[in-house]
Amino acid sequence: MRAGDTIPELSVDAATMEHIVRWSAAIDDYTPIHFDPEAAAARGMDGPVVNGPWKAALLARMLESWLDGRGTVARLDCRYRKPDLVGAALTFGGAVTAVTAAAGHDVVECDVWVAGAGGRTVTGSATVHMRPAHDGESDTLATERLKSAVRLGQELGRFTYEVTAGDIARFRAAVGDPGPDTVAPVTFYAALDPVERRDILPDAEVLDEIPYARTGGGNAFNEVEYERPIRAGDVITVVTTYTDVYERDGGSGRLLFRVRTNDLLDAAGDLVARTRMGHVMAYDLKRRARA
Amino acid sequence: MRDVEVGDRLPALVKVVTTEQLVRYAGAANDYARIHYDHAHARERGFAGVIVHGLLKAAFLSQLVTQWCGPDARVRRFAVQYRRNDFPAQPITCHGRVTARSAGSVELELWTENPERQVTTKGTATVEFGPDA
Amino acid sequence: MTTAPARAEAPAVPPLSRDLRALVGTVSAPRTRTVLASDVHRFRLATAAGEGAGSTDPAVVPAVGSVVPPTFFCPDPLVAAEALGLPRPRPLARTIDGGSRWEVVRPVRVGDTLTLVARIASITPRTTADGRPMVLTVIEVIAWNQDGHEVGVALATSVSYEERLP
Repeated sequence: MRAGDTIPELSVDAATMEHIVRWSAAIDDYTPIHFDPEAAAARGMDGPVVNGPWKAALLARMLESWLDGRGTVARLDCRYRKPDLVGAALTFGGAVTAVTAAAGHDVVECDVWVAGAGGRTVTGSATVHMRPAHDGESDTLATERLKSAVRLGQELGRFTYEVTAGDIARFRAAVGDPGPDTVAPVTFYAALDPVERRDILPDAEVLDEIPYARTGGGNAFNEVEYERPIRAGDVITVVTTYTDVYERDGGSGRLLFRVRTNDLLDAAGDLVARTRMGHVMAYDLKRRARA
Repeated sequence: MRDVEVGDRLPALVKVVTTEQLVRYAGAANDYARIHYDHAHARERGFAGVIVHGLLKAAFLSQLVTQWCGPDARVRRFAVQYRRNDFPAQPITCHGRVTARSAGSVELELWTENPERQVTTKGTATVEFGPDA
Repeated sequence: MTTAPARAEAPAVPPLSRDLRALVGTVSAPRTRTVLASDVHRFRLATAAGEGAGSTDPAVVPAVGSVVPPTFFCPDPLVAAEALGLPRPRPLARTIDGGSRWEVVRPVRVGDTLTLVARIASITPRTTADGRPMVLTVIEVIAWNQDGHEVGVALATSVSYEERLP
């Protein structure tokens, strides 16, 4: 995929009155310039004109055909430069202008256009997210794309949090574990996890696109090993790395596991604790998702 | 802690979670997953109601350990696996047992039980003792 | 910043009337609707290209949970805004749809419930290339799904312009 690649064109032999009537019904709008010659003439047109947004919808369809299920149209921007008369033969086309790699997909910028009798009547641009051509067969839950999205095996991100006595006191009060607010309880590391805190959501887009009904899930396991307790006043940098992403069949459906480790470092860069967080999501492959 | 022997049981700890506590925990741990405070969402997911955070149960089990071992000991390792969900307003009983010991440290097996005596969480911990313990 | 070359009679861009300025930022009431398979099917039939708009093959009716086409959440933002009760300024002789833009934030699926709100984002005076007054109104429609997540933003530019003299 390179700048300059052309997108396969879509041709409409004639933008017919049937298209117009069906579109009017689909959008529940019956503005007469699209089907009434007198109304069109009164507005200065040579005849009934094709709706701009219908042409945009066909550009979107052209992009979807090109994607062939391997991605999504993230943005479409059209300018309706000249009207097309009902009955016109129209060609919908485009070309790639830039490709940038992102986690799990390419971000492809394109120019798009509609050509009618007298040249380009619509010009515009689009952004599509396109996945590579091969998707694993045993990959019902998009595991390969997830691995890419979370940069499996590599440091995903680092986040720095200040631990205050107030945070510790609030945590102790919430779990009902009285004690000094200078030393954090054993599970306090959970409050410093960038993924639980939604400070980092690398796989949200991939997970959103899994088409199956989610039947359950949550944390599967949590482990911590401490070099020393976490204390009030610590400035902890959490380094998150996903170590495992896999799927298998389970009692409650198809299970997707994601395991990450967090290294908790103090201000001097010394290891305070290392944690392992395992998360599981269950899907019913016989039911489609509701978003 | 010289008197600790393999097989010793830790004094059980009983916790009952209120929905208010689930909200406080969400704030204290920065975990705002809706399954823990949004009843409609939990029912949509097939549960009778909101469920207790796994890590909150882990906190209870860690409290079981630290209350038993006292301030002179340090929890070196602590691991939990979540088997079943627990719900607010139902007693969650935390249990522990010594499974191994050496000169300076003790291995524990931990678990929580729901009112039906089903194991809802399983875990292990390694506790290291100071020289005076 | 270079200055534009002086033209003999450079037409001044007429300022907006107070009434027009007051419309900027107007927000419509929200409206909620369910994404029905039949509506998506109707949309797909209306945008069938070479394969014949007349196809009524029932086998292609979309399944619950399937993702809808990118512009489906708001196929025509100007029509949507009017349906939501948002005024569309028509200050000059002709008013046309100048262009549309869609940003798809999350996939929308058959069975979702969408809430839409329209807003007049801006009203800008301009002139045409040959000096006639023009007013551009940008209308924005935001859509959220049943979980409150934003699924898309659609924008339209309504262009109102003075007629060319014969």
